[in-house]
Amino acid sequence: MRIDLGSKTALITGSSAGIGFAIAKGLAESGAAVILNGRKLAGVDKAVERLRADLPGASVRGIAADAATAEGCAEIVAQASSVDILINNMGIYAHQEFFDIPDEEWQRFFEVNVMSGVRLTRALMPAMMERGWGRVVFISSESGVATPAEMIHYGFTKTAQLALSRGLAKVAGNSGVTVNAVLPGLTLSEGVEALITSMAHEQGRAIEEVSVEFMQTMRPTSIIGRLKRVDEVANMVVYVCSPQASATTGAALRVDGGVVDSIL
Amino acid sequence: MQINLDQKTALVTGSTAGIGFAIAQGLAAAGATVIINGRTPERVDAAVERLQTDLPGAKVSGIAADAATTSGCAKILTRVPQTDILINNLGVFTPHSFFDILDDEWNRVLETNLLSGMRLSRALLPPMMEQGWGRIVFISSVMATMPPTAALHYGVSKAAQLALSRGLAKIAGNSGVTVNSVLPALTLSDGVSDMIAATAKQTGQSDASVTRQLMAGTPTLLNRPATVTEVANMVVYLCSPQASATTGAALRVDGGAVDSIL
Repeated sequence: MRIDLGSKTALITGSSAGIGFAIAKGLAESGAAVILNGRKLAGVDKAVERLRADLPGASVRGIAADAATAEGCAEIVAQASSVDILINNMGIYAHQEFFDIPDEEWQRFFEVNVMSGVRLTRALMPAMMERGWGRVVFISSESGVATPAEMIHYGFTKTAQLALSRGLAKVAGNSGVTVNAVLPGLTLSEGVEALITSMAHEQGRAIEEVSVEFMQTMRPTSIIGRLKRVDEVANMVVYVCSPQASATTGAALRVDGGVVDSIL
Repeated sequence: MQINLDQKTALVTGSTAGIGFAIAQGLAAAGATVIINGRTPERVDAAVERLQTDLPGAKVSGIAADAATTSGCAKILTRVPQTDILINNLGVFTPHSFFDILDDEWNRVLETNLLSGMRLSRALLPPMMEQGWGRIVFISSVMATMPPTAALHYGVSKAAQLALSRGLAKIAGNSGVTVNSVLPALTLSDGVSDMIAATAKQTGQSDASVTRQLMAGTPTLLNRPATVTEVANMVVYLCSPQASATTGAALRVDGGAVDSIL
């Protein structure tokens, strides 16, 4: 099976690194023109350059704007104009005890992880529906289902994304636009990799050994018992953005190594 | 993205027509060596021939055996003691009022829809784990989550498949074998198309009008039945090397039929 996204344009928020960058790369590999996004111009420029070096001939551009704010979203929409594929990937997480999380932090998590997707989809989905083809994907998390006690505010935003995604799928109806959520588990992004590498150095142990132990401690229900690579998450996103995935909408698709112990 | 299943062998139960045939076709198109299965040699031979015509050069063979029975599974396993990909697709749907479904019919539906996949997985999962790579996919249904009163035994068998699939994923663990299920809603398989045409003829309506009435039973966001190819596409993706981090999951190809965020 060959997935061909030639003639499609994709916007991926928060894509200067990590899962977002891997998604951009996966979509570009399938022929899509991709728009990278990040807060800082230097980071975006570097990511654009890196992707062009990885995939010579790929159509890549960048928009430096903060998708976490209304102004930033307006800027992104103005510069992107029209897209066929919108990946709401940008998000933040932080471990914090419930009793220590102040109102402002709850509001910030909601703005960044949920309102970014609300604003961009509100602006960009109508044109997709008019053209009769489009893909909107929310990068949620297994934490949206298995709420982590050490970051309830994060889990709460990830659950909210599932409701948003399902509701938007209903709005899109049979227009040719599908809206889905992808649920990764703990993934070996740059941030997690740096954490594990520093733990390994500190303890004088092999990175793989520390990585497996980290999973056993943090996610004992994982079936594959290892951290996922960012490209494994990106693969599902590329599939769900493909013309082949036309009958999947309003779904929550797991790329979590089986961590959520539920039949659904 | 290019999905390449060269060097992989795939057994698809109940694959002489409908979703099963479309899956066999999708896997063969991705390069897999495919084994078609059905009950009668005539239908199996015809399906093999049809697939070879559709995809010249495809590596296809067939086994005529009833995967719904112990002896049929044994016959399949003698011919295929090992495979890289197992698609438990065989299933029957026979609408009846709950009070009219006798024990024999319950047993038949559970044997066909549930135990066929259990028996084949019990035999074929160990060699997959040993070689460090494998894919098992159960073709369940949205009726697993929305049991239909008009065919409760069917809904129960499909729900049980989800438990079996999730449990087998745990057994496969980090061996390199993933086990998942796929949940279609109303799909335009040969059987469904024939049923629509027959009803239309009997009642003097158009096919479209009968389809609309069928859809009213399980409304979807797409407001149309899925095609068999759309269901097969998800199965091919799950069988790909690219899908290595999805296991123990239930993936919907239902046009949004189940009104749930999960």
